[in-house]
Amino acid sequence: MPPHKPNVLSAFVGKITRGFAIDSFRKKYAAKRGGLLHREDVCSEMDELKFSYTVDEQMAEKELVGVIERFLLKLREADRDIFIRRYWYLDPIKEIAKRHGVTEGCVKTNLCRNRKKLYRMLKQEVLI
Amino acid sequence: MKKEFDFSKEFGEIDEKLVENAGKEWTRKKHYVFQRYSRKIAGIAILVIFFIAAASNSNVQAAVKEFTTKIGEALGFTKDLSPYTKMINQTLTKNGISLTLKEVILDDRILAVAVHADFGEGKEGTLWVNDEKTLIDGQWHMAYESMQSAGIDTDIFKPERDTVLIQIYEDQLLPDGDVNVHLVLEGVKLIDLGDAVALPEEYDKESVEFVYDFVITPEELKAKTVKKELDVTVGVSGTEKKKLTLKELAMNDLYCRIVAEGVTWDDDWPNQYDLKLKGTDNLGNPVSLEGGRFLSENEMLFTTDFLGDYETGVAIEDDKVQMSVPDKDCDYLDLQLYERKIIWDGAEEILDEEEGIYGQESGDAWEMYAEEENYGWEPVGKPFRVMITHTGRAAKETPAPFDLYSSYAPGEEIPKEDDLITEDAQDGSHTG
Repeated sequence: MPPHKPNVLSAFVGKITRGFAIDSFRKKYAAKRGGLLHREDVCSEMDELKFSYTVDEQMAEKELVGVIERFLLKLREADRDIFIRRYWYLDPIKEIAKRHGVTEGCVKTNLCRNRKKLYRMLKQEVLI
Repeated sequence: MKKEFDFSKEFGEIDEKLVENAGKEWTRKKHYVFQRYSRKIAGIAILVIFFIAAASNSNVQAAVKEFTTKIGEALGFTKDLSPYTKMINQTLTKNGISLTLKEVILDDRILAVAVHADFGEGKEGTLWVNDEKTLIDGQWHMAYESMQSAGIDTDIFKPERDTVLIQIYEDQLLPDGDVNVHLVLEGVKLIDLGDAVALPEEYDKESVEFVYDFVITPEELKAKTVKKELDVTVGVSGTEKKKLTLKELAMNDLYCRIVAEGVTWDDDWPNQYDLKLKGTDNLGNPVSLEGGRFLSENEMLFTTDFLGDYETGVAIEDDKVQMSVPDKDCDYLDLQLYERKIIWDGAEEILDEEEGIYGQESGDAWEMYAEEENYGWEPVGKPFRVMITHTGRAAKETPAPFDLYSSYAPGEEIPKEDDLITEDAQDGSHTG
């Protein structure tokens, strides 16, 4: 258990599971560079949001998370759910599409647009 | 020393409440957002956050800046929007948040409001339009897009600032004359953590509603909206389906929209590529219309973006902020259709010899879209001209030869004017 009691136990348990899933997937991905598991796509998408910044421009980790949270708050409820289901729960596109009753293309487009917005927001907050 | 921002790691640290909510069965607004619009809008509601200072396009022309409205100033419009703007200037204060509704612009497609927000000394905050409670002419409308801008030089979350909120509608048809608006804005203070700010854990319960009731007449803007029927086929035919027929044009001082047919919302092309129409009008104004939205299964919408035609990654100077909207009184538009591989699908394909299958190796997609590569935009087919004949106006002299250079990627051969497709708009008229 963490040093402080988590506010929502299910989220905490999910966080551990998610971290393990990503780590284990990344190791497999790095070793084999192949496979068509949906998590490969998820990681590839998340890697689009990677960028480097210097120590002088460094933002505290908490603050970076704050930027992401503010971005999420600004999203419409459905968009927020799609974004979190994809990048926190690592759901396949197909399952998210089914959950929201839309096509997979719809979900992909939605995620793509919102990734771009988050990237722009992160870059501005960190580098400017 | 360089540090790497690892999204997958940071995203794992987001507020547990957000995660918990997404962990529940999805029910809220599902019916309205998706089923209600499934017939009219094939896309899903998208909220766009604007940070104008973060993006740039080197082709943006300097604009004369004599703004008389906050909305025009924040979004970089060159035209005076005051004829369409209702001045409200009503201040409401609740729970330490003071909100002044300054200006409103309304027509069938947009609701734009300029507000001055004060979240209290040192308190950052955020604002949004409550779609579910806002009524226009007594009707509830779900916005297709919601946008927010704090202008060219202000922080969108800072404690005290002017902010413009824009809602885009696709299902609205306002009557002539006065329209009653019941506008509900919501605001919430962010929690100061010392070196960071965060959302309140129960932000949805802690947000404060600000209700404004007023009457506005959208007639002026509707009357100044030019609408045309088109029959212009653009793109290329081939094994891949990359051809569109432009069917309708609507433009005014705030936006320009073109409806195109020829692809459906589940075709690979619009799902794998960003599309846009770019060029100039005959007066030299930059024109850029983003595609990708579907009004129905086979009607794609190209529309000007309230962000302007800027690309990500380059700082923009304050005096360079300008909307890429044609002059509604122009005689023609010279446009080129462009496509750009969508980033999530832009990684390089590699062969896994061990498995004998193709996978994808992630690259830095943002670096792929460098300025010298025209940000990834590739022309599709030939450039074309859309003639616009305005009713009640004498025919003008033959327009000057095209200035097509801005429609082409650096280094690309520019075709002769004879090679261009030229089409006249049909039934030229102003709506009234």
